[in-house]
Amino acid sequence: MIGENMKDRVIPYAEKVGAKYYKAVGKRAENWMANNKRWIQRVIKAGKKVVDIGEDATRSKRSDNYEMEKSELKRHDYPVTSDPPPPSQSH
Amino acid sequence: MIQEFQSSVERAFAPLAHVYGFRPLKYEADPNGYEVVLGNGTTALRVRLEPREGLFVSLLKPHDGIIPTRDLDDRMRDPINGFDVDDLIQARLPTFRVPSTQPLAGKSLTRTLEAYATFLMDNARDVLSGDFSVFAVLAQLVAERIRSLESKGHSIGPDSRAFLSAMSRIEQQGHA
Repeated sequence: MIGENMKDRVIPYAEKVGAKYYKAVGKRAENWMANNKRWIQRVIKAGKKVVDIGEDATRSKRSDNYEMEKSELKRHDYPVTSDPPPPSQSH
Repeated sequence: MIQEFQSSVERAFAPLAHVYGFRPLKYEADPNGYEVVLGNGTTALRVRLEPREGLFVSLLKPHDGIIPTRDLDDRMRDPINGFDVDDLIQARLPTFRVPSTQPLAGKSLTRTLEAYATFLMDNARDVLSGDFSVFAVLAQLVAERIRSLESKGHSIGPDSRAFLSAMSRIEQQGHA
């Protein structure tokens, strides 16, 4: 699952529907984007289903990491599900 | 790092403590960031630093003394429960600039936090005192943002759909 705002949106939703999500690793900030890019590339290579819950519209600042993920998916013309079942219907 | 962030937030928002009685209510660190929640009984302020994404300062309206989180469940249950101060700036003083020199740490973080505190002290007396009527204006800004993203073909997510539904209900009640 991808989207903006990991803590408030992506992780809670992914855990409700049993999806995996990017887990930030490493203490060196300069590596975070590259690590995130490798993760989405592995997802694409493995042929996993990708669910996109979009931007956090309550934020006016956009996420560079999420933009990168979408850009990678688009570059590979990879299918993305943009309308997953609501969490309340997923149990 | 959480202690450093906590101290920076408390120093920067000290004017809110002195004038409006804001005090720290919660500290939290998670794999994606750090946050401090300040409150004064009528209003809560969440200050969240995500090293990968930036600094987010949000005003929250407590219900029956309970401070809503910004997580998905609370957003789905009560979509119009809080807004980022960035949107209040956009609504009230769009010329106001919050410095965002990267990385947000040390002095650059302090400058950014102090800018938010200054803005709130000068422009948010109502919200800090428990008058949330401006939330209707901020809700319109967020709704416009969602519609704009949707019109560009972006996924909007369940929380944004819940937000638009809540706005529709409010608009219908307004017209009734």
